[in-house]
Amino acid sequence: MTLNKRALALIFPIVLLGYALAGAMAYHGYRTALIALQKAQLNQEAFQLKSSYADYMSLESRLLYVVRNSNAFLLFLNETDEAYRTRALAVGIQDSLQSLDPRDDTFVSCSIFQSDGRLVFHSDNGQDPFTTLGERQRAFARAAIEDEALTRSALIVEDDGVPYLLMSSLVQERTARQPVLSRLEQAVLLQIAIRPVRFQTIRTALEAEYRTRIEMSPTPLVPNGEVSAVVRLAPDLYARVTPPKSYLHREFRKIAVVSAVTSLSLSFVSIGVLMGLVRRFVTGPVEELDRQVTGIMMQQRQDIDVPGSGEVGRLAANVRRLHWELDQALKRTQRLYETDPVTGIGNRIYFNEMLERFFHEERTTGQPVTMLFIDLDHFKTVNDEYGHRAGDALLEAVAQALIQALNETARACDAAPGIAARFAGDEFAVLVQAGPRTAYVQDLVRSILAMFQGGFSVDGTRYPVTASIGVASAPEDGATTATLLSCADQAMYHAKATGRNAAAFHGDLPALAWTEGSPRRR
Amino acid sequence: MRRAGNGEVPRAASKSGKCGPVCLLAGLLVLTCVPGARAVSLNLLIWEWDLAPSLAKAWTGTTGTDLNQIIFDNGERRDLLIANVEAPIDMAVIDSAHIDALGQRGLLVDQDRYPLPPESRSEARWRSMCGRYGVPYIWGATGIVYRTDRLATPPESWADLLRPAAALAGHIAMTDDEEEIMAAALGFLGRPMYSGDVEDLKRAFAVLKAQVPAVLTYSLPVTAQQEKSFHDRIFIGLGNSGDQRTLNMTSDGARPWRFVTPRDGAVLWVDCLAVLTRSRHPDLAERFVAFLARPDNAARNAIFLQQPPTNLRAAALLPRDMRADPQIYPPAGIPVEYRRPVPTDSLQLRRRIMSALVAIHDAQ
Repeated sequence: MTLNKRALALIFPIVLLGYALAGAMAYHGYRTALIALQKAQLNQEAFQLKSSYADYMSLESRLLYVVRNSNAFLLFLNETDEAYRTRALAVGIQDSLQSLDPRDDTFVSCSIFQSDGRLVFHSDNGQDPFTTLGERQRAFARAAIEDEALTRSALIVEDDGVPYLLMSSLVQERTARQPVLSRLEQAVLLQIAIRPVRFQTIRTALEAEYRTRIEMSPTPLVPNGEVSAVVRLAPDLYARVTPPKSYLHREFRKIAVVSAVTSLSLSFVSIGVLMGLVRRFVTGPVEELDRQVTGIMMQQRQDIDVPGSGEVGRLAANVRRLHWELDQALKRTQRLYETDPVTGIGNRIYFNEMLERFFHEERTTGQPVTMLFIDLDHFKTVNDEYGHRAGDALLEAVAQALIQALNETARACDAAPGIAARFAGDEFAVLVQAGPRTAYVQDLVRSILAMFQGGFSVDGTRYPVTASIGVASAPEDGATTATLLSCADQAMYHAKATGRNAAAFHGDLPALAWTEGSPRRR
Repeated sequence: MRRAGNGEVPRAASKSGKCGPVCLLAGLLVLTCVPGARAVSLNLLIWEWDLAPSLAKAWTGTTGTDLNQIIFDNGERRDLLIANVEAPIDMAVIDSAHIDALGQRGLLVDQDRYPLPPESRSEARWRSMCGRYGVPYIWGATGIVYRTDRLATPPESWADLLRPAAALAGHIAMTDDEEEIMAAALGFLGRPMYSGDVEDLKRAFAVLKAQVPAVLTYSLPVTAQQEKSFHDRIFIGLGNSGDQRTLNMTSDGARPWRFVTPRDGAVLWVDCLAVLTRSRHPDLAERFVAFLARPDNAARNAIFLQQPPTNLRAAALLPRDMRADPQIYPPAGIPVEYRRPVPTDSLQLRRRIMSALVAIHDAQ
């Protein structure tokens, strides 16, 4: 599992859980607030209902009052001649009624019933003059007379579905005053009816909004549940609005969905931001270090960048230090592996490696390679006569002299210095990147031969040793390393054969000497 | 029934709160209690501009008693005042269709007790219409008043008023008197104006309802004309012969108004003078009745009112052009219907029709 996946696996559930908890708390808070709000709204709407009802009740009371106290009504009551009453007096009651007509399209009607329940007057301000007084309104009047109710009001619905707010009052037949209870048979009933349109509109709107019926009752009601409003419309009329549970549940569901979506969205955003930060400041540097170490292992880079301080910085610095130390150890081992312990210059392994490299360059750049095979003459006698310690010292001095001659000649000829190595025993080899006929090679050969002129001195002791040098080059003398070695070897033997302390160029050897093959295999 | 007057006072009062009868009554009470008023005065309930001022002056000059004219503009409200025993009224102008109900209720003096001299007696047809309780005062027809400077073609029938041309929409004044408005609609339908038949009334209501959008106001043209908001906006209306005179009096000097009797039929009415039994000066009131009934006074009054007198002797005193004026005497050849009481049991329905028309109009 990568660091990023590990971080995600840690962050995701924690953040999600956190936001889920926050979302649940928010939902609970909103739910409580919603209930309070709904309650307040419901109470306010119920109050509007009450207020509207009260407006109509007030209008009815005023209408009742004005008609009852009008002279026309008194005249009407006192008149027994029905024809005259209708012809001359009824219009007065109509005028009284019209004096309080709200003129806002509110339907108002006024009816007068005799004590036997007979309707003797009816007038309204409606737009259809041919309607007759509804049966429910007549029944209400009859009941009021029968029950001897001095005043009574109610909200009724006619058979055609139209609601009316009724208010009736019993009055004394002659005086229009409140009747004496014992003489109620002499009373007439004055009844006002109003179509409570605004009340009905509010009621219908409320019922539509809450998808419930508003309960009406002549007896007191109590709120039914957490969200329920009760208003007293009239002394003996109560209304209760109780939205069904499904109404609030729908609202709750909305809040739940919003809370859940918000929590999830915020979770994902937070996780995204956190993961971005973790990647930028934690896993990113580790991945980068990993990439650099891999690069070093793949030999695509040399070093490691240290990304500042901190744990990852320190880790990078330690890895770099470790890498450097390993590199140094490797280089030391390599040097030991390629160095001749007696002379301190390169050994046969080193020589072979360089030969391969020079050959590679010869093939790619066309730069010729020339090899000088140097064999010390009479070295065995030094070992025998002066001891191995002296022999070793001689070999070391020859090696240093070869290096010096190589460097000086290269400097003098403005050429790249070649390399020198000890093959084994008294054999040395020099490799340069130049053709055998160049001044460089010629000078070098001369310079080496000159080192042995009259023997070779080491720390004041002159040893009777000389050098025989075989020179061969690629591609002139051989196209492979083996051929080159063989040719140089051959040339060296030829130089030895011609009297030692001389150099022989393979290219100059007589054909016979060349074809005799290599007398010695190494 | 003569809308000869504009009834501005009660009309305005009724507009501002429908206290017409109440205000009028209060006014009457004040009138009778004014300190320093002459010892004897007569209170006459009458349409506005329904009595020649010169006659009123002559009466006061002759008798030394004041004549107070109390103005009304709606027959039913007038009846209510007469019915109210508190209202200090000595005499009233009452149309023949209403007088009997009030007389039989004992509110009016029986005129048989005060016989007029033969020359002061009206035509028999008018006398029979006024009956025992009234003396014929003036007669006329119900028809259409219109402005000659606004209508290219003079109206000829009820259809021109009830099914008005588009150009007249918003320029029509109808009355708020159910009897007259129903007379027009029933006349248009070819039915008797006093019909109590519910089907007739339904059809009449339908005709009037269809006219509502074109109506400017449900008040008498003579009343509406004097309201600032309607002034100069009324081109045609339901009126009575004589209304053109009042309208022209209030038309800024021009005299564009004319009256026409619809060719569908002439609805003829007669106004009667009645003395109330509660009058404190019944004899003086009867003297006033006799004063107006004199042929010379009746002729003077008719010339002022531009309406025909009920007395043929008085009619003979009229100028020739007046006698030939079709605005005053309905042209011959038009069917004639005399106004009579509508059935009592249809009254409430008729009143509801009237109030429904106003309600529909207000709702617009």
